[in-house]
Amino acid sequence: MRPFHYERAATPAAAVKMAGTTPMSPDQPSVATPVQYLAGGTNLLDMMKIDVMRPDRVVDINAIAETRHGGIEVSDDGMWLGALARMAEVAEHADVKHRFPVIAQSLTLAASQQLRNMASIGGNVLQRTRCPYYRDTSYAECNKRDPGSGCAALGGFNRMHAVLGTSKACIATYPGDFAQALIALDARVEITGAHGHRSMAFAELHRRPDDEPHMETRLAPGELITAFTIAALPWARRSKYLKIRDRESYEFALASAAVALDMDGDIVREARIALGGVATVPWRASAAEHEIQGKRLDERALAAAAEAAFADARVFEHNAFKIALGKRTLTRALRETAAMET
Amino acid sequence: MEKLDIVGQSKQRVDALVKVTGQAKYSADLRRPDMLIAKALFAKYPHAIIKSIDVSKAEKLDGVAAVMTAKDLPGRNGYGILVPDKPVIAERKTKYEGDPVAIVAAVNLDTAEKAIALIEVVYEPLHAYDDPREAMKDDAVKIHEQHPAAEKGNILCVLKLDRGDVDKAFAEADIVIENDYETPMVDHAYLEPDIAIAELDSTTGGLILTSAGQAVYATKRCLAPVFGLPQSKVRVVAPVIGGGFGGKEDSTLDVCAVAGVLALKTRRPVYFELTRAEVFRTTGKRHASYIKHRLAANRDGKIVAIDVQTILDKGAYVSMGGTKAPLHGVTMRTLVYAGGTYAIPNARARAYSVFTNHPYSCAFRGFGAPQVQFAVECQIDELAHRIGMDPVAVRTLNMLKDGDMTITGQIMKESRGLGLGECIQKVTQRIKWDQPIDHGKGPVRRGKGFGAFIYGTGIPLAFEGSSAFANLELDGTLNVAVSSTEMGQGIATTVAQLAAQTFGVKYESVDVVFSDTGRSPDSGPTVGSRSAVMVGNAVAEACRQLRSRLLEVAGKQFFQADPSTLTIKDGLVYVEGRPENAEKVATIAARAFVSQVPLSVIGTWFPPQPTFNSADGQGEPYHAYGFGAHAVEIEVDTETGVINVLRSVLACDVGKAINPAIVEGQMEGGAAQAVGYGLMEEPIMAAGVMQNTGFHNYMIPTTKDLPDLESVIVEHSNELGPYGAKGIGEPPLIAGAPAIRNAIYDAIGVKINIIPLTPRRVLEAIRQQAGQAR
Ligand SMILES: Cc1cc2nc3c(=O)[nH]c(=O)nc-3n(C[C@H](O)[C@H](O)[C@H](O)COP(=O)(O)OP(=O)(O)OC[C@H]3O[C@@H](n4cnc5c(N)ncnc54)[C@H](O)[C@@H]3O)c2cc1C
Ligand code: SF4
Repeated sequence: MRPFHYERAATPAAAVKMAGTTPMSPDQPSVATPVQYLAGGTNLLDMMKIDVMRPDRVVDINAIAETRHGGIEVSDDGMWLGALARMAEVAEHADVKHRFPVIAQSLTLAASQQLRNMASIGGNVLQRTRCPYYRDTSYAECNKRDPGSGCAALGGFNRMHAVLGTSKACIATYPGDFAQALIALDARVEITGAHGHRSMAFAELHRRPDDEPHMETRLAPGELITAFTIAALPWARRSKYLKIRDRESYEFALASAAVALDMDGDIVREARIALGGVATVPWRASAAEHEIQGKRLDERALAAAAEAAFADARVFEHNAFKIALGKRTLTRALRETAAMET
Repeated sequence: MEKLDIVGQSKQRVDALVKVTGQAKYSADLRRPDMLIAKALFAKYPHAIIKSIDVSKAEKLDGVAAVMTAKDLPGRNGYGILVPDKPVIAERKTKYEGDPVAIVAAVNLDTAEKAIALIEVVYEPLHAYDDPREAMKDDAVKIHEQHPAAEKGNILCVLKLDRGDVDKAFAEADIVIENDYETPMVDHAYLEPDIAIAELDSTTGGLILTSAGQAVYATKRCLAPVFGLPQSKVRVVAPVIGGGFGGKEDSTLDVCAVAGVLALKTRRPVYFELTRAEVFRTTGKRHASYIKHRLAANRDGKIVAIDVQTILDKGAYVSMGGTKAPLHGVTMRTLVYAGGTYAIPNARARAYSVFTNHPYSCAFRGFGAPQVQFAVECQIDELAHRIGMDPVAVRTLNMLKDGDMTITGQIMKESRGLGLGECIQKVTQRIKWDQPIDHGKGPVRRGKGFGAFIYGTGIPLAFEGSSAFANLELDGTLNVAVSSTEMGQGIATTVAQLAAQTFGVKYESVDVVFSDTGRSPDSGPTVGSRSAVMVGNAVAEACRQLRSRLLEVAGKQFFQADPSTLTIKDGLVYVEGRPENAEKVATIAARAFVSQVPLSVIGTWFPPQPTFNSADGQGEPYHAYGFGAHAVEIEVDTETGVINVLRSVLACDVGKAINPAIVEGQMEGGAAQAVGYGLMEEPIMAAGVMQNTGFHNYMIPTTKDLPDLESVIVEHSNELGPYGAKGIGEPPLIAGAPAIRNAIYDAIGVKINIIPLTPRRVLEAIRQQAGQAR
């Protein structure tokens, strides 16, 4: 690990101010931003140890956990999740488990208990891809790390890589689980920066790779995520996260689906579907939602939804299996969600 | 018979407290004054000609104490346990990713890393071989331009076993089953990475090497020529070790060689530790295998012949792979176990060991047995299905019984322990084998599977045997010294129990010194499931001698009784049956000391000398064999390909469990490792470059992937083992993977003959089968 300056901030405003003292270009690769906030550190320190991230300054924001931004608030209006809340706290919160099961499940099925105890939910949504070529600096080719250098994964071992949302420049999978759950419940993200406060639909936060895979999110350099908000959807209770992986803990998704359904008897009134493990960003499967809207969830509708979800999929040498697996994961998640007692 | 009150008890491990309180010192915890840190520049290309190396910039860097290339070495640029073919630093050619091209010692890690980055190497890359079947072709580029042991091209050796008339048996048999099997090259995945500290020995002028290694004497012998030193001037010490599984018999040589030559050059202590990625890329692996297994049987289920061809991926160097002279290594074991644990009158086996540009394949728990016995145990199930017989019944019908002959021509004797029948019975009972299983109707199906194994105790070479040292202190405590290493498997505890029981002091009165060539005689390497038996016997022999010397003194000078009427128990000496009239061991020891009776003993033990004929693979390679049976119940998700092991029941015949908790520890560890071997562990190699070099993408099972691992200890006494013991270190791994594979067939009727059974492989097999059915 390279040497860096370490500072602490106790409020979002203080953190943003500290970060703002280093001039930062908006076009710089996300990974190369010279100032990094340190939350749980479970991703940042890892990335620094393997020399992929080399910040000059690290602003420790853990003290913010003592403010409202470390808390969880559930009311009849919905849910407010402070960015510094730990994954384990959210996953184990009784109201979250009961009223927003997809949120709790996506967190419980992620990483390991030790990691969940440390990791914040704000840091979670910003975790970097696990693409092995991105994580190994001995490969010169990686557009995400080094724009224009090429993509070693295209001709490499790309079993874990994405089939949706890929571009010629990058096919790396978005690795997290929680983000899909946020999308399934139409969450918004609250952001503080040098120019004040703003919020956006969470589904807008991540950017597809297109020609600029090094630009990972729509956060400006130095902007801080302060919270996630979820409006009171009566049907959030009928939601579920299904994750398929190579082993039962400590492992990322091969395919996953976050599903929320508003049912009128056995007819789907409204559906939200987000897919993980198969796409370059947390993937809202709008076409699949559309397929089942207003329909009875029979085998035909399920098959149509799965087809629609992967209609634009593109496979690479080692990951063709992800289409069949992704479809089955989605249909099973839909079937099980529809069958939930709420 | 003597009543056992220490042997057979689950005594608290001698190293338990220091380990759980964090006081135990592993190699990485050690520092030396003025110590330098080493780094190696490993090959950029797994197969390449080195055109030039320029170290001038690195040498000029502040804080760099030495930069060495092959031309700077003090002694022979080659080492290896069987053949000295692995260079300390590659000179003309690189043969795998783990060949150092240059090495550096500097004042700290940062400087060492910077120096490494400044070294400029020009390579001419060559085609790198991933598949031994390609590398063994006549037109393949020779990986070793000249190799001291290779038979032809990249073929290191071809070993043979011939028994009976195989062709006739096949021609006359009712049923022939022929299949190809593949097993992966896997990493040992020990938690502690490889580390060595080398320092000058101020008393002898030689070197002291401190390293997590499994064979301190072998390390000394292999590396003395590398340092240009006589063996007497090299001392090797292994502190407690964080797992080895066979790998640290070899990998310790790699790190000791680098640290050692740098220490000699700089005259300062040198510390060398591999990163996890370097452990994956550079250290030894299990031999991957490609097996063609043919089995002939009669309709009644009796196996009449086998014909087996095994091709092993040797990787870049011989390591423990196998040569004809000495006839040793993993290759030979694939012959011995080609027929599994069954009595088969006619057998032909051929084993090819072939160089590739992979990490050298070395010893790994099971040493060739898991590979071929995977094939055998799948074949047995196929036979059962073909003739409509229960797979367990086929095994019971064919298993080796008292008086039967193995395919190497060895006659099995109950007096050496033949507990397979009891293992099978206990396992089938526990898993309710006779009761039909509900296979399920939805996408998730259930099944049960079975596997059995045989595994020889010890090393099948002429030198097999052990020495151990026992010293009775004048306060009545006992010191035992062995060169075996303690890597979590519990040998120090086992030795302490054997010593206390045999001599007659309390377990707590024994202290064990281990793995230091300067402090104990040669007990042999800590491999081959041998230590409890070979080293245990040597320790017991030393303690018996000490005991009789002490009783002699007690009889003459204290009790005026024939020594044979005396006993020692819990540190007290008395006439048998009269404990109220006892003398302390300490009192008698003090008297013995002034009576010129020596209280230090070296005990030795040698089994009947192993034999194995290289012409036809016949002989008696082991004095005794361990056996076992493993049943699993699994769930296959046919939509995702994910397999979930619901139950695992393993029974092993260990002869005698000296410490049952330690035996269960070995059994649970082996069963867990078998789940990894069967389901997920697999290095991804692309032209010699390992793609998954961290635990985030090289998968081993977590506790969540494992069911409650049920272990049943079976004891069929080995007349030559200490208190009847046989080896248990490696065997528990062997039959798990085939049991899982057989359970998948039971669940969904799909046969997969390649492990690991990853979700992707399972899905593909389901799809293929559906395609064929259509
Ligand atoms: C072995 C392993 C397995 C894992 N498995 C999974 C898994 O299965 N599923 C899964 O979802 N995750 C998994 N993870 C990832 C883990 O969940 C993330 O590392 C964790 O959530 C990151 O949170 P953190 O608080 O530690 O972030 P940090 O490491 O502190 O930060 C990560 C990044 O986000 C930035 N950041 C942090 N907080 C903020 C904020 N409030 N505003 C702006 N920027 C911020 C940091 O500057 C940094 O760039 C795994 C991790 C490991 C090591
Ligand atoms: S897939 Fe993306 S992250 Fe991976 S090597 Fe290619 S550009 Fe880099």
